[in-house]
Amino acid sequence: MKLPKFLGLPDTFDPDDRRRRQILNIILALFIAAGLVSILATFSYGDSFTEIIHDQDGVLILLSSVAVVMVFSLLFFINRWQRAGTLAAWLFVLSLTAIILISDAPTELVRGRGLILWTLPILAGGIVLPPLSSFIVALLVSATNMYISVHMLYEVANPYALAVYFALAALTWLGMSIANGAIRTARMEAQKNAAILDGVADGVVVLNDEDQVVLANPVALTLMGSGLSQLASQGKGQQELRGRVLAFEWSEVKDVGRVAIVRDVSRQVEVERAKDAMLGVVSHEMRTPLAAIIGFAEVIAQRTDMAPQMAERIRVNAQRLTFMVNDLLDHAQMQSGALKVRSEPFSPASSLLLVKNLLSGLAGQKSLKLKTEIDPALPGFLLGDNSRIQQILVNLLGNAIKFTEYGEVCVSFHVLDQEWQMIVQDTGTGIPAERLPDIFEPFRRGSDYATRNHQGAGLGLSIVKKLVTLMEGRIEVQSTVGQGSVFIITLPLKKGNI
Amino acid sequence: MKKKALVIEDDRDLANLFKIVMEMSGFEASTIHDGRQGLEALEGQVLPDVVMLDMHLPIVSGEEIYAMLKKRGEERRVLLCSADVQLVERYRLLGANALTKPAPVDDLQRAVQEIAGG
Repeated sequence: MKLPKFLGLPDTFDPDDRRRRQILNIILALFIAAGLVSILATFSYGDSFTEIIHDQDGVLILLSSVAVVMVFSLLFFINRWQRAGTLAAWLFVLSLTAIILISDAPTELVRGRGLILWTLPILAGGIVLPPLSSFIVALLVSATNMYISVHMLYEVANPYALAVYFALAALTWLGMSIANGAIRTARMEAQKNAAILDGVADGVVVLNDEDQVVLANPVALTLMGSGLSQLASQGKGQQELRGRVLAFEWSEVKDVGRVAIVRDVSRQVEVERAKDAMLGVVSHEMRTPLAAIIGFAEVIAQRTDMAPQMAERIRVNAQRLTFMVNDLLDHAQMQSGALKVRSEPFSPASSLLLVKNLLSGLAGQKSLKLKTEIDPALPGFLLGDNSRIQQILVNLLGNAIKFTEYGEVCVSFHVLDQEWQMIVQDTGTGIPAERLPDIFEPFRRGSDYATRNHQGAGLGLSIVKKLVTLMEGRIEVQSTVGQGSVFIITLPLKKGNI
Repeated sequence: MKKKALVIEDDRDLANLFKIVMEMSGFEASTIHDGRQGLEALEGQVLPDVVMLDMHLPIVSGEEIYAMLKKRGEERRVLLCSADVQLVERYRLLGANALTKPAPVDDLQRAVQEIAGG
């Protein structure tokens, strides 16, 4: 119910109290208005002021109207005071009782037409006071009646009237309790539903039959903002809005209208696009070594003099393909959380030597120096996953060689307090600062900037990072364009005993 | 005199393979491994009889080199090779000689003979 502002109240904590005080406000306002009208009516009869004063009835009406206006205005302001509680309401009920007391002769009040007037405070009390108060008001009314009967009229109190007053109080109490209970239940249901809607991760918007927005939860407001006004014309499906991709689902609800669920699917769309891009890139990257294998296999019969070299190139390219396929499998395992590292004794020196031998040919092809160094303080055997350590080194070293045209590539092992480090350093083209944060993302490859000599699917560094994380270590990279890069992997030091 | 062939391909194995295939077809072949050197070798020079051009080259792309040759009206001498199927289709529709990798050696030889013969 929309009230003019002056009839409204400051925020009280209890919504029931607030409701009762608003009703009291309206009642008081009506009484004040009636009083003012009465005052005006008295003067509007055209009689002069002195004439009115001399008319006894006129004076009575005038005085009582003024009293009503003044007293009830006072109560009105008390009611507006936040901490008044039920003070104004009680004062109102007492005022009503007082008005009734002076409104008629005592005999009428306890035996005649006045009897019905006593119901007013009880009813009014039931409405503007908490439900049980109607009994207290009934008690007050009965006590007043008994006082009049016994002390003013010297007779016994009217038992039937008193019984009716208490019955009325009981009915009022029952009615208001039920009403209050229903209101409270509805309010709690509404609060529960509001909490549910607030907690839902997707946006929920309700449109009525005229396609106006009736309800929108916080997520919907965040996702759509002012776009909500166009929601009605949005059909099922996806739409880009404010930098996000949103998916819309509709359902019809009888007597309510249409309900739209708005979901932010930007991430899923991004993943789908990345997957498609990946498939494109991978199939493209695998074709080159395949072309070499097939081509050499086809000509090997015609150029038997070159057969040994061709066989070697076939082997190397087949190995390249194998690495690519393994990377893809590792990536898939990473995505599904199935990638694991073992913890067994291994010799870091042997692993380093193996990796060095594997890649020295590649380095030699580009006339690069390949250096390795092991801290003498490093234990002969460590606990870890040998093959994965080699995979990491092959990956980093391979990258270093790929991206370096002159100079050297160096792999060194160092010992720190409770940790050990593998450092791969090169004098290559380096990585631009703005690309550094992304290099460990899957499917990132050194692009137009550096040489793009068939880097595989671009999964290597993301796999390296995942493996390092699984080993409870960390990886960092420093790089200067034109000077080279350093990759530092720090792992917990666990000695292995054979 | 033997016809001349230039292979511009950044993968060294493939470059070597193409060189061998060219020699098997009776050409005198040389290889270049990046786009910039390829551009330098072709710009303002007499064109070899056949140019085998990879599309994805470092520094300067194969597409740029092809565009340069097309401006000179000499794009008929180029055999485009790429692992990108859609790219090859696109260039084929534009009238270029293009093959997808991997291509059978026979196809390579046939294409090259057609270009040099015509």
